[in-house]
Amino acid sequence: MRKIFFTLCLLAAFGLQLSAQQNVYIWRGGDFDKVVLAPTDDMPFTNAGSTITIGGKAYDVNRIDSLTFATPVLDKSGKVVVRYEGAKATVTIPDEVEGLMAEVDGAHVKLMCVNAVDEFEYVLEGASSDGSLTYTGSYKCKFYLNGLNLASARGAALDIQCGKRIDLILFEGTDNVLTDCAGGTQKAALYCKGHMEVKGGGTLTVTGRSKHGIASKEYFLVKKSVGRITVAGAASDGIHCGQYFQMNGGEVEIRNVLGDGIQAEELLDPTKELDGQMIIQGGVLAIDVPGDDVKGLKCDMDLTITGGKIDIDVTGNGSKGISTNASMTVSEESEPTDITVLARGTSLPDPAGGTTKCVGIKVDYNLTVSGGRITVKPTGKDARGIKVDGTYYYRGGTVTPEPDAVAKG
Amino acid sequence: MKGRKMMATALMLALSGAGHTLMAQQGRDYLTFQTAQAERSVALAQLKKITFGDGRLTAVTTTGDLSFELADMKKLYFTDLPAAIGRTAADADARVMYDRDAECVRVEGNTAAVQLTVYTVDGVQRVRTVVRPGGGTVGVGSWAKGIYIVKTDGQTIKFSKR
Repeated sequence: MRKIFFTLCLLAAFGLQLSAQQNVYIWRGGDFDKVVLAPTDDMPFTNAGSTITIGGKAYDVNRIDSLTFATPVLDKSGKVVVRYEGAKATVTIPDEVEGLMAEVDGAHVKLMCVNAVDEFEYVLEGASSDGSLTYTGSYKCKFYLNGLNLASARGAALDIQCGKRIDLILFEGTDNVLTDCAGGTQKAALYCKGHMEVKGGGTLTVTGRSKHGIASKEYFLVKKSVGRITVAGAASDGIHCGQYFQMNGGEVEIRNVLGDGIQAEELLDPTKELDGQMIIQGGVLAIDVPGDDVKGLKCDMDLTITGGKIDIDVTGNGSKGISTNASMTVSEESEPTDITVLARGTSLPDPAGGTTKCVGIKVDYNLTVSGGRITVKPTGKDARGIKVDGTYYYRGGTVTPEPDAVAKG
Repeated sequence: MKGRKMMATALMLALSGAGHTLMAQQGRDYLTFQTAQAERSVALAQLKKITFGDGRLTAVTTTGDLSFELADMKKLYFTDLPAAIGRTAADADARVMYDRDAECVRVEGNTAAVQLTVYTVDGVQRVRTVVRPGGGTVGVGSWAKGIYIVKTDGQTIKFSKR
């Protein structure tokens, strides 16, 4: 009874908190930064009005184009717009965009760009239950998802065949969904041949029915401004990238994947920086690992966590919550760090006659903790907490349980 | 019995929290510009953008622009209703009040003509008039019940007509 009482009281308090948000959009150079304020926050002026402080950060008013308070509407001027409406799609190309060709087959769109000088911007919006976009190009570009709900019965929903930097903007206030077909040869429902940087306060939900949910050949970067990325299911990994995976903020949720939650695979190219690494600097990351002998977070090289809330639930047998073939470093250099791993799976028989145990955190080399909180709960039969095949260096923070390490420094 | 009382109390708290949530989501409808001399509020639904230039802050609204000297600006903040503002020097002796018995808005003690505007709580202008030196009244007896905002050159008040 008391538990119910306190729960309801918490709900009452939470109800009061739910309303506490006022968005301020700071426009500079045609783009905006969103600052979320509590309704009681103010924006004081200092330096004779030449500086305004918004959300604790001071801005020179002469460097601000404008402040707005309503959810922005995407300015489509100068942008290529692909609009899906059921069984058909339309492509609108502004006169100033040169070197771009479009082929439309029902709601399946192919864009081919031969312009290797200008950075074009593409807006994708609308809905189709059998549509897709395949983009071919050789120069960096931007894709705005502006309320796109696209399911493809032919292959990937969004296939970007461009080896350069691709900005994927989840436009503020929009929800976007990408789903591919089952039994296909595509690598992912959302695929990028180059390196993808995701930003914008909207949401993206991806389902990979043939292989991965999201895949990029090179690095995948989640910027601080991201609203939420959800992989709702995948036949293989939730997010699979080459080179490195970096998360600076936002929310990432991985559910119902049969492979790894997020994998960063080494390209073995010395020209590629941070090759094989995983870097988490902030945000909220939640991963379910139901598959057997897979990992929640997997990387070939160093894993560095300097901030963020990470929750990983491992129910697959022989699976790992976090696994790195190199070293792992945890601190609170960027923001508070709170890592929780539930190792609920049991052991998996391996072909050699032994077993592969379910482990919360497995580090093949050294583990260094200088701040933050790490909690592993190995509740599965024979499950283990934290296994370190090198040296465990404790410099600060809270780690539970004590890692099982070859050596301690 | 004690358990039922606790449940009832908790339910009431939860509902009031939810109710407050709903009210708060409908509130915070104004952005108030505070300067060294006064405050002006603009309904967020009418506020298009704020720009800065030539030493001034300009609030572009659907009903026109407001402009302030940047050097005078103190802060911007959010309010549920337009904030009461300080008096300007020229209007220091004027008093604006709602006379409930007489069902009118009364201006007294103004030594100069004062522009008086009354808005509904939704920001719709109800009346705009000029009150001559020495004071005057605006009858509100036939108006619907509700909250109204009265603005003169130097003051803003709210009153509730029942």
